[in-house]
Amino acid sequence: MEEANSLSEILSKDLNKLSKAELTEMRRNGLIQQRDPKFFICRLSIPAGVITAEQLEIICKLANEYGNGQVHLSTRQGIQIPGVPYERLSEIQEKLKENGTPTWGCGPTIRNIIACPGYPECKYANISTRKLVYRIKDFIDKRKLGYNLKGKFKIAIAGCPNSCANVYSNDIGIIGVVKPRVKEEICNGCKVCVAICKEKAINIVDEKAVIDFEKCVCCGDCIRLCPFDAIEPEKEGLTIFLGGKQGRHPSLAKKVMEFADEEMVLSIIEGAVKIFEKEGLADGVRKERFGALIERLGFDEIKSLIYGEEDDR
Amino acid sequence: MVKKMTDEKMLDLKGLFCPHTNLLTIRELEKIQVGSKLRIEVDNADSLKGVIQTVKNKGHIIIDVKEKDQVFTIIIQKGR
Repeated sequence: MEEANSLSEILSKDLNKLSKAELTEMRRNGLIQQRDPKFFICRLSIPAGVITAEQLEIICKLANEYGNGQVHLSTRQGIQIPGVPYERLSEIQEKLKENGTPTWGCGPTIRNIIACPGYPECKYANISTRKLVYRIKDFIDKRKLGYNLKGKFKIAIAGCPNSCANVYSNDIGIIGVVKPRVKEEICNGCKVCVAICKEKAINIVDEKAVIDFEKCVCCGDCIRLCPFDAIEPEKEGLTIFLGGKQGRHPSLAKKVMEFADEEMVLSIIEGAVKIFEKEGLADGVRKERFGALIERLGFDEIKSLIYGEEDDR
Repeated sequence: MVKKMTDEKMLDLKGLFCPHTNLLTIRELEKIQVGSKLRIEVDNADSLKGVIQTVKNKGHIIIDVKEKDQVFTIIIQKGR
């Protein structure tokens, strides 16, 4: 059987003649075979889960026209159109691409990047999560990262340590943080920050607020809520976590870096994805996740491999 | 609940919770003139957080905050 290369070539073939590799390539492109093999689910790539109302209307129209009239909201802030017959896939796929919501992201690939609303909608957010998502998505697309993965790879971004985007259960999690500093010349020891700090990390010593950085998670609440603006940001940045997952054996991601900038995030993503491509194990049935790879090789080894990747560039 | 004290109004919000505390604060600030003061008493951290956030966002000035036995007394000057 001849293997087709591009998706359009695959879709021009007869359904019964598709190989396993070709079906995997279709899954990577978001076309997932259903239990009834004649029908497919179209999974759309929606970074950060935000599209315009016009785009949503077109998706609804296409779901009525090509699918079974249902639209599935996926767990990764995506949209799926179920019940599309095989012979109509290439048509709906083109229309979805025109709509700016191309099908993408199942199988061994970097999945839809999820994020909380972030700045400016959320009053707790320290960063604009969407901007960062679009930057990462752009970076991944330009460098064609994750085309040779053996398992899935998930990225999530949260604007503050409340972690609404479940960053601890993703392969790479990113949290926007801000380290507070008390301006002693302004602080009058009013105790508002002591009362509102969720971590109980602030005490008043000699009528001045003193922050215990063993407890502080750098959420920035005290900076925003000080009535006299006596607490200012000392530094802002991104905390990066590696190797979290859910599934059959959930485990939480581990912190790899604090107060990183966006450039650092991009290079850690690139390093981690390349290590996962190179070292990850898969035997057709069992696919190792990045967290398992970290456990197998050791966290320090992974760190030095990631930083090594950076040095190469 | 509201009584006159020289040139500043007094609003006792003890025992109340957000958003009740926020709404009463906003309503009271609407009644007074720009530059006048409002004294508020709250007795829980949640209401304190809400009131301070609301007052700051609406462009008013917090002149003083005092805490005694878990009761916060906030003096606000109407900003605009």
